[in-house]
Amino acid sequence: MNDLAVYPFSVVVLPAIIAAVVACAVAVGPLRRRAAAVDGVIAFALMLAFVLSFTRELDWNAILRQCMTVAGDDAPFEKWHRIGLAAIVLALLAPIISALGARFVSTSRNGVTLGATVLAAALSAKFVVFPGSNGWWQIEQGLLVVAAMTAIAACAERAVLWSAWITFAMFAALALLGGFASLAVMCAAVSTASFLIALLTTLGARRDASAIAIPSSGSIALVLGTLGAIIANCGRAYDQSGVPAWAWIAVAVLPAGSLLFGSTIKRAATVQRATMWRVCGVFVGALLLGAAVAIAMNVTTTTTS
Amino acid sequence: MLFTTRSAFACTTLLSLAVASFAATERAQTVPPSAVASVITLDPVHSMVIFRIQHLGAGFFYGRFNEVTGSANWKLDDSVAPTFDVTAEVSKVDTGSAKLDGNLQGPNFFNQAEFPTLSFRSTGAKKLGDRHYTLTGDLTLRGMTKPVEVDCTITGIGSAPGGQKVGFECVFAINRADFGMKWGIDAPKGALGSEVKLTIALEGDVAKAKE
Repeated sequence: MNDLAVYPFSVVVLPAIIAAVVACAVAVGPLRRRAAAVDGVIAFALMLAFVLSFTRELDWNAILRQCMTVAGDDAPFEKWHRIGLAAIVLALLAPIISALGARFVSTSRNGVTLGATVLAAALSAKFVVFPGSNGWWQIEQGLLVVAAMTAIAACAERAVLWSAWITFAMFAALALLGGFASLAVMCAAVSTASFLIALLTTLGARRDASAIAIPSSGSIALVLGTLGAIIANCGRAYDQSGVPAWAWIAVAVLPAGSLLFGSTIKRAATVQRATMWRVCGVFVGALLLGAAVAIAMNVTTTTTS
Repeated sequence: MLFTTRSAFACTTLLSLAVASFAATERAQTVPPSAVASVITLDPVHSMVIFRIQHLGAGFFYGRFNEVTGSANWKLDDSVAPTFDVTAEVSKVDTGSAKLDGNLQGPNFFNQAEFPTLSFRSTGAKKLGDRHYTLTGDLTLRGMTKPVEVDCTITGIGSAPGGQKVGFECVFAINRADFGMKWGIDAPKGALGSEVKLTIALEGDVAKAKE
């Protein structure tokens, strides 16, 4: 096979397939009835897709270099490589938070989610710093983590994985526009993984009547919201092609587009139909955002020339 | 006879003076009076770094960094090897395609946001011939400094209304992976070559300096 054709397979499709295989454990079978397992494993699988894509695109040293001196490694320290480390931390944190949440009754469970949200926002604001950043930018990054998680948890509901599919595809498109191919393939890997896992869980639910719905709060919202907010700030920090900063922020909260067809969702006869309308809302939101970015970039280019 | 001897002596003296004078004139033409240690201030408009890389294993793709700044030192009589300290800004990369310029400035290549400049500073020289040297020096790229060996030619000395100008051309090749610029070598495999040929083409104004 042509080497260039192998590339998208190795950095996008293969990590997504591995993530989907891991998610299979909870998508079908008895574990599908345990909310904590579903939440934790799917969140882990999504971050696994990102980490595998990252290490295929770069190498493990790029992550190790962030926290230790690697013998024989003289490659430069690059701030954006911290995303890989963040994804590993999120992957490890996800099952723990899901397990913790499962130990408590509803009110305390919300407390765990809230605590995890604040922790993720604070850690990303403190430790994930990109070029040109200042104190305000870091505060903004923390707030964006909270906003992105809220958009996922409050709006996406059963469409959480489908909305992640569209959101991360949009991130990939913006990264490509911004001349950041590596970030584009990593986002594409998460997008493809979300799609495959969404497909698997939908099929799994059809086979098992007692299967639970994929939770939109908890670890899945935590990992997707935090990674999305970090990617948004990374993309705007390294952009070299005039992609507007607001576009990156808007993509991070794109799952809020689920509410675009709010009244139709309320009138929907079945849960599946409501979910379909939520996905449509995110999709329409992505189209509108894409059009706005194209107009803004065209205006910028015209003005410059 | 005496007259003849005196005449012959006079003629010889005159001839010697004429030859000496001619030689002095000739010397003044080949070795300019400013043949003292000269600081050469680079002219950014006529100085650039050109790079060449193989695309998809097929053609060579060329790009340049415009407006190279810095200084050079060289004795115009070529009695001392040139020295250089030059810097190019990543933001001045020019491939003729704005999209490609953006890609090169991005993190996959030069990573302008974190490493806004690249520079070359010579540290030693070996004379190969008339106005031709092999220079050793440090190339700093993407925050990494590595020794390189450069083939340097003094391309010419010209006159301009403001004074004299000197041109240099330094050619060398690097393995870009050595500087952490690996995109396109293994992933995607073969998209871009690993060897980059660089030409530092410089022109500068000669300023007389104290010996």
